[in-house]
Amino acid sequence: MKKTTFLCLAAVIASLSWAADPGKTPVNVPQSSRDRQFQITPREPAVGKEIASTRSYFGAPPPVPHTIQSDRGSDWCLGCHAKENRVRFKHKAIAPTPHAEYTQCMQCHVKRDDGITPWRENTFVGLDFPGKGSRAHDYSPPTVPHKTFMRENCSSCHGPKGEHAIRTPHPYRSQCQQCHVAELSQDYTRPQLD
Amino acid sequence: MIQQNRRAFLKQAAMAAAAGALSGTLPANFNGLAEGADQLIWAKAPCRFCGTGCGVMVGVKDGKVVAVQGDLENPVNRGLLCAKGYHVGSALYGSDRLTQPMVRKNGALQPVSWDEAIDTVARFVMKHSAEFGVYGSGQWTITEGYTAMKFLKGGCSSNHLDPNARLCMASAVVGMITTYGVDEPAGSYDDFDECDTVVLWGNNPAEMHPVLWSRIVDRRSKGDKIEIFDLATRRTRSTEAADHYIEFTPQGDLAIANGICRYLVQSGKGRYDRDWIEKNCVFREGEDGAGKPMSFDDYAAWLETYTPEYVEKVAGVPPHQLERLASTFADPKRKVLSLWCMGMNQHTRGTWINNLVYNVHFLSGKFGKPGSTAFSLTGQPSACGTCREVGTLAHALPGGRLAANEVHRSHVETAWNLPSGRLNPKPGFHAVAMFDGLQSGTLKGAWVQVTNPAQSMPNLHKLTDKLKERFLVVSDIYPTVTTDAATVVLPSACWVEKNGLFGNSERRTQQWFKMVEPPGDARDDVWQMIAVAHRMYELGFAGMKDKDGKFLFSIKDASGKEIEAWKWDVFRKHNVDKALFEEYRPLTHLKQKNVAPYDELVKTRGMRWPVTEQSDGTWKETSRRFVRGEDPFASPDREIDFYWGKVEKGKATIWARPYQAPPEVPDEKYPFWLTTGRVLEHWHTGTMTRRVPQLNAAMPKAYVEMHPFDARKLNISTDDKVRISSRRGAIELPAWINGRSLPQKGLVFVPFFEETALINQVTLHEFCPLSKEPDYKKCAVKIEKV
Repeated sequence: MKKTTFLCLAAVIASLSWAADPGKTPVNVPQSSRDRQFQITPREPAVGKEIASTRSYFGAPPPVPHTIQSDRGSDWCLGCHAKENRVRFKHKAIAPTPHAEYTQCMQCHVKRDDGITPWRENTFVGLDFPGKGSRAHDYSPPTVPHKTFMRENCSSCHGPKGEHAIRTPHPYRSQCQQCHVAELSQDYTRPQLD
Repeated sequence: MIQQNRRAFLKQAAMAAAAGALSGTLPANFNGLAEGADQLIWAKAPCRFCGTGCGVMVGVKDGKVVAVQGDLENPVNRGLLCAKGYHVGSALYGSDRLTQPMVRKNGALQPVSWDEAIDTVARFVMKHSAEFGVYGSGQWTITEGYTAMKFLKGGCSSNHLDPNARLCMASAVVGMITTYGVDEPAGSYDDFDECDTVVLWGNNPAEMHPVLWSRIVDRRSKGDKIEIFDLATRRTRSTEAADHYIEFTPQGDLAIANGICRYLVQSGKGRYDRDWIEKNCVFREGEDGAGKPMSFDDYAAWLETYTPEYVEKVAGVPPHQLERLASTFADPKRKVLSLWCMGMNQHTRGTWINNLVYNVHFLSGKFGKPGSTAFSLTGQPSACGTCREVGTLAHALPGGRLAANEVHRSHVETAWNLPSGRLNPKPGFHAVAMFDGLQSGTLKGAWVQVTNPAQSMPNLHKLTDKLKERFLVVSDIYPTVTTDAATVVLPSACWVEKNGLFGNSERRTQQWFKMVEPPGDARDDVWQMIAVAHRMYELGFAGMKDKDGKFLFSIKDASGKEIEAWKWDVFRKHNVDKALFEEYRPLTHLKQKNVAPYDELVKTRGMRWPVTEQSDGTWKETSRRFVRGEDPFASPDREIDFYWGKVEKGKATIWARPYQAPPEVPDEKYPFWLTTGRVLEHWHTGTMTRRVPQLNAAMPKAYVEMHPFDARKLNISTDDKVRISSRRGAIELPAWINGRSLPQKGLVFVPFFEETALINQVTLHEFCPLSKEPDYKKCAVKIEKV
């Protein structure tokens, strides 16, 4: 009973806020999407930003920022990080893995421990994050300013878990690449046509 | 559009800059050059780390590596890397990179000029050329190993040249040679894509060959069913993805393999592939490499010792588990891939256990067929390409030749334009013998390149305590425990700071171009040796002359003109790698290990030998050796042709090799087995990976792992300080209980990456008599809480 009331309330509030922005009127928002409080207004940086900055360079696998159940195997990871299996934890969503077909998570994602001082200093400066994708004009969908290999699930970074600045304003749309095309120059593996 | 023009401009500018900065080593339009809006130059290279040989795309900006990605076009890894691979670029940038040559004067290392360093080394080698060793590495590039061969064997008539691969792959090598007459795996990674059953024989690929492990295990994501048997002495990350964990007592692998063979040949049951055996195998018994003939019936009778009860007694494996594994081999429909690495090779009967695993695959007919093969995994990135193919071993010459063989020596003397009799027929010191020689003073000095023996040799007190008293030349990139003992330290270029070639586990030779400058005054190992050789030539050392009195190393540029490669400013302007590789290449033809031409390697993501030229001028690689239709040298009259078969041409040997207990077993005083090994995050002695902050933070310290029941009895919990001691030495480490691996009761595991926890002070140096490879996996220790 309580849950239904809440759902109705959420739906009403959601529709009100969307109605206020004419460019964002949804037509058939799935029920499951209404359950989630997609916040379009700015809020403080999500944990995602911290995680992103622990990468050695843009494109490196981020180390795991939390303790893990067992150092032995990667079976536990998908319990929280499987695609479309987002779990609420302290009002934050958990990023699904962008590459679920790779099952040996800990092969690339090692433990992170900010308390460990480096054994020797290292002067490596890694590739920084790309800037924004280019837009043909205002309101047109920006291009994808990074390669898409291993990033097949866009909502991993751009969904509710992601850093605020890159969080999608329309997470209920699932076919991202229909509008957001890749930039050839970012994808070194594709033939460069000139 | 402005963006388009800007991009084109940047691309041109980058290429021009690259060409200028790198002195012409990168041709204008080499494969992989793609410059994005981020102004990075991307180029291919095989990874610096393990024997998988993943393809890496290296992103360079302003003369530094800033990013690394998996190379989607490389069939080895198809874009995936592992934690070490993703951080391989960072490994170049530790702030204590060696940048200046140093010579020890009055006990301390002092910076000197390159001229002084080269002169110092040259004079010593000239004076003591017969008592000087070269200790090389499976991380040597192909041309570095080749240069060392020419330097010591061709220039000094000495065979005291051996690599650290002796400690790693020697048993696999001698196993293959005694089994089918020639080195290196017959199968390839293609078999990983086809198998439906995998048997791990005492290895942990989830941490040691992660991308190959993923290649198999991630097939399950696509619906493939793969049954995995993990035969091990402890539970590891590989066990987590396995269906069966078969725990065995150390050294019990010999009994298990024979137990499976017995199951297969038991008369009347017809579980072995009789037809295949009769066509393709002969039987032999004996302890050495020659043995004596054996009939099949005698072999079947010999196997009767290895009943399930005997296997259980010796190896601790219950009969139902042995039967489960054996019946899988007996199933003709199964495609079985066996994988192994150090568990079988670092073994006092390493050659035997390698022979026995081939027996299992031959008897069950699971060899030379898609998905069915016995595949020896190589640990280092170029133990195959350099040590084994170039022959950087105390008894070998390039291309699978033997120093003791007069015909082989004459081939190489001709190729190197040496006077007849220059090459020494007497095999030199293998690794353990070399360090034994340095310890006793029989050898007065050695040149160590690309490896860290003062941490990685076994029984360190016995083999390395006196290194400081010898003339030790060390070429390395960081200070290590070995440079601590050095007389001369030569700062070296690493990975993409030089041109290079590696050969991986599946016989794939891969090439890369120099992409960034080495730091400070660090220089290529190849240059270092040529420079010393030339200084010796200048000082009148006869060995550094060929038979016409000219300098031993004759390097020509692209137009065919000789260049003074011993001068650094000349060396770095030319692709000396290509010149040396092309000189080496014809030597690979004797045993049909034909490597691809350098230019083909530039264009491709490597090629698996034998590589042969087709009628249309293209070059074709080989996936499976010996198999009709795939191997160009296999006879068309046979399904499989072991054309180097020693006993009978075309046939491989099934060896009756018995179980034999290891030299040291736990007893009352030292009640635990000690097994050593690696972990995912660190490569070998950690000199590169511990300097990567992300990898160091993930695994900062070495530890000792034991079974929780054992820990409880000793009142040890995680983080407690523990003293681990053997008859040879003792160290202290923190304990880690219920951590990454779960050792069997009575066994402890310690990784060897930390230079302040030298576990090799505790290990023994006993080695397989046939391969000379020491056993790092079993000795007896006692454990005490400190």
